[in-house]
Amino acid sequence: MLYKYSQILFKQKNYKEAIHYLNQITVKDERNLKALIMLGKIYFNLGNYLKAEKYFKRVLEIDESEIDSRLLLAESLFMQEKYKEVIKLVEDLPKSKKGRNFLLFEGKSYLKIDSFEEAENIFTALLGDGKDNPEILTELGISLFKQNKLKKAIEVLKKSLVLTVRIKTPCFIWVFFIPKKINYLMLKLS
Amino acid sequence: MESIYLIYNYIGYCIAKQGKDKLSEEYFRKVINSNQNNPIYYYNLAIALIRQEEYGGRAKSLLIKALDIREDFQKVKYNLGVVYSRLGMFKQAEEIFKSLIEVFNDFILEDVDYKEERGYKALNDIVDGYYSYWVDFINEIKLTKQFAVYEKSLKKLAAESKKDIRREWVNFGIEIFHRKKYEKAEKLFSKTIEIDKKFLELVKNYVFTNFEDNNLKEAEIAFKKYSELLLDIKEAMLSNGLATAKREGYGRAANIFTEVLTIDSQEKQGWDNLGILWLKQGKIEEAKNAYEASIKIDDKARIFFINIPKFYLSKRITRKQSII
Repeated sequence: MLYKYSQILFKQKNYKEAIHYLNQITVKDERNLKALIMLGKIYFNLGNYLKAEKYFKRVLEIDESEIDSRLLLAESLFMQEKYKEVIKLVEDLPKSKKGRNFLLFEGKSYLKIDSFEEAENIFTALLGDGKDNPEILTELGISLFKQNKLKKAIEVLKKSLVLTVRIKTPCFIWVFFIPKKINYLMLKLS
Repeated sequence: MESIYLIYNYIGYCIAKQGKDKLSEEYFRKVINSNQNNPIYYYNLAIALIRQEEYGGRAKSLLIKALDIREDFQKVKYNLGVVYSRLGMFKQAEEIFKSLIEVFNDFILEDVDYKEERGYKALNDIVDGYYSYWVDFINEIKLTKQFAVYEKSLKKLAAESKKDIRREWVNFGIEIFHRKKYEKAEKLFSKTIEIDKKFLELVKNYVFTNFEDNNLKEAEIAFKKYSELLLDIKEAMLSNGLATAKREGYGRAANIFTEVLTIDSQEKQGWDNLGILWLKQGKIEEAKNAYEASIKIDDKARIFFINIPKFYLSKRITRKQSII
């Protein structure tokens, strides 16, 4: 009952009250996974990454397989600039559970600690599945730039720019950018 | 829209690193069009303009704008100082450099624990920074060819700097030399050489000690320092020799060049100058030997042999045998 009420408060972003009720739950049952996860998420949303880290670590102590909490823990650590801890957290994961998001944080962490080659390898592997992601392309471009691979960096960054503009521009605007030749053909057909 | 200007910015960086400043300017301008709140973006555009030697209105106002957003942005302050001095606005430039130095001084007083090794290193970095700001400023002034301001600033640096500024004095001496103040230049060079020689001996001993102790890495570092010092002392001695020669102290100047050649027998300029000096004193054989030594280093020195018939012509002596 208390948990469900806290869930409503969480959705309403009434974090202060939600914390109050969730704490009541954890006092009674300190291994209550759902309450601990929600507390972690609340502190994460409030930008208190240290406390979020504490709760997500407790969650993982109870249940190692809690993948969402692990990802939020990685993000909390990243936000606190604990880059080496992020890398360790991802490396400790079995290969099958290393999703794109984990690898993205690992790559970004390598970039932050100036291990540019490792970062490049991770971002290249992430792009290997054929899906061009502007965020990953940008990070790859930065890691190439940091290694002075300027020509390749420009190429990657320009690709990322095109994709970012495409994502951020509503489809109907793209009609204006259809090359003139195609416009001409369309007119001819009609 | 955050990532768009981030991408523009990094493309700008890449292009700037390729030396295409005009093109990088376009990208940095696009960054500012998307985000007007980050001082780094104003700074990047200003640097692109400075690299194209556009110091005036635009670069200056961009740097001022960046400082409006972040007052303690030291890199921006430093470049604004550079822009002011390139525009000949020395009073404003000096104000900026002084404020930078104050930051360093405050840091020395407050934040450094002198007992710690790290503290010493930090202190050294700060003094280096303090020093380099002044040296850069003085070099900026030197470029504008305002000699009086240059001299005044250098004296100020000598009075305030905690670092050794012998090289700056040598540069100053060369400037004085070009203004035909040979006596003053000679004094400056001699003073520097005196200290350099002692220092050179110390470093040389340090190289040998480390080498004998099988501490090869330290010996290598010391040897690099020794080589650098050797170049510096040679430059100062050659300049000193020229200054002395200009005051017609040919014998003394010849001694200076001989000393340079005992340090480095492959110093071509030393042999060339020595040849000229021997000739001025009428010592033809010595001059010939000096020129020959110079030719062994660089064949182009053959041209100096022309000085010998010229000498005979000036003395109205007929040369009987061929020289070359």
